[in-house]
Amino acid sequence: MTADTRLPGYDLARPTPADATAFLARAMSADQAVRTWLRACREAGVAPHAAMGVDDMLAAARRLAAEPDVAGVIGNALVIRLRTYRLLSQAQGAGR
Amino acid sequence: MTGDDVLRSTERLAEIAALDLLSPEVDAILQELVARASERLGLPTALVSIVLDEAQYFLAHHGLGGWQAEARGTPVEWSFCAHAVRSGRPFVVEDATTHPLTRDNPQVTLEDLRCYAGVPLVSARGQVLGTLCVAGTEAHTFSDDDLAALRALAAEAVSRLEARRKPAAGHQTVSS
Repeated sequence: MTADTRLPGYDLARPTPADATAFLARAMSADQAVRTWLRACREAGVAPHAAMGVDDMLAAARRLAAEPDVAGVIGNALVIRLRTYRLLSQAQGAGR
Repeated sequence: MTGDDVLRSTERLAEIAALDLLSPEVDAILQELVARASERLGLPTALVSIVLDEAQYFLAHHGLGGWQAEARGTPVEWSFCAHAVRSGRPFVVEDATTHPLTRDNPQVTLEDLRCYAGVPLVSARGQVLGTLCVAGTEAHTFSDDDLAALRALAAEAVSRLEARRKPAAGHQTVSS
């Protein structure tokens, strides 16, 4: 997570592909985690790269969340972090 | 096992997957229970929250609005329920602005969460999944009777969730 994306006050950074693969790698090998994330990106129709935006990340995370096993649970957590980030960043932007 | 190890335990996350807890139809199964919890405790908000590795997910909620209802959860580091999951015991906060585990939480400093009581949801296999909890916007004292009522509702929630568990492969009932 990079410091420059943190929401003021909330100290919440924009989730990144590195976060996604790190979360997955707690439940599977690092290679499997990368393959699982790349497959989710491919099935979501988004290009995987280090600077993916929130919308593309959310599309891939939703695809991951549809998995029936632990990867799906991890995907759901990622979806909530992304939704939270998007909603709060929109609210803070609207308030400026 | 540290607190974060508990939250990230593959066995615990596998139990959440095995119970298919994140399925949309679970909300309807639990909605009556969160409404009863809010009414019984006299607090505006009640939730059944499942604590995942990096977020909490609201399976059912009553009285929740704004971004938290829309996101249907929060990052795990803001989750009061995660404290109950880490310890396996009820977590009670009568004034979140003074409690050492919650006073710096953005839900307190930037939102209006002030009191909380959550009882762990423990699966039949002994995994702590999340909590049934109530919360309010003013400091509040919780009685033993309040916690007993939450425990009873949490037991009912687990019973309803366990009823959805699919039989293990090789142990399926065959009807004649």
